Amino acid sequence: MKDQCREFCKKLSDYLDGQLDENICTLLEKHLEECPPCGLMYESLKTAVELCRKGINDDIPEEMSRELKAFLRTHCKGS
Amino acid sequence: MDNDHEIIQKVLAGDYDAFETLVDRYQGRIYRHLRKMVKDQNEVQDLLQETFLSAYKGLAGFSGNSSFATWLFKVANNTALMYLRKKKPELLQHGDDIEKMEQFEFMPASTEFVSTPMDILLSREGRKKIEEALDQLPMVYRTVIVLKDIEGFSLEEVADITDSSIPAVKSRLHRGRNFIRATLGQYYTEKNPTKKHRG
Repeated sequence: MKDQCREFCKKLSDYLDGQLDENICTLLEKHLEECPPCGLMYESLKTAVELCRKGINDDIPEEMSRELKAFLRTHCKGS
Repeated sequence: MDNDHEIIQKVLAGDYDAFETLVDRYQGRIYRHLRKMVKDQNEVQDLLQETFLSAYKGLAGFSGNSSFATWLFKVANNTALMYLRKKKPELLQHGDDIEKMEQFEFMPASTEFVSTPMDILLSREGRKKIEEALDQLPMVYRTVIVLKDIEGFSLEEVADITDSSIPAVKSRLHRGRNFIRATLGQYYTEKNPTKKHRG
């Protein structure tokens, strides 16, 4: 990977979070359009973040929720 | 529906039922966070109970400078860390493990990963792979990804919850996300060998 590409790739996570200055964003966006490997790197990082957001959504088991409330009523009420 | 601060005032005035409203509101998110730190369901249950009990007892000390969610997640995070330091210190011993993490940072992206449709990436098997990739991350990286990318906290809030600086959070997010990207990329490249030699 070229030095310039490495520098841009280091900024991709901040770019996803909207943490880069406007002038750096412009340079980065231009580079992503012109450099297919970096463009792919950005797409795959974005996909990975999206998958974490959408793919991890397990709910608390009902029994654990019931036991939590029973535990708290015993230990908190009247304390 | 009352906002958190209004509910907290009711709890502090002695209304226990109001506290159950907070429990209903946050138990799912706190459960998910603890489950990503501690795998064993019995341990998760104990830590969940301890978190809400500590929150109830410490509610008068909640200053309102942050959101209640941030404060509660900080209580949960510290409760789990204290437990792990005592019972499973090996899970925390890797620290930032920068050397291991750096090898994933510039690993080339997988065309197969990016071109796989979202419904396949989010299938039962796909979700399992996401879980596995997350679980392989050292705790400090996993925690910031769970808080930022799954729970949706801001960088400032993640820094507050984890007692870290914002640059440290950004750097951990960068490395952690690249680890997930590279790990899932590798999996989908191997899963689709016919496409492997294209381009």
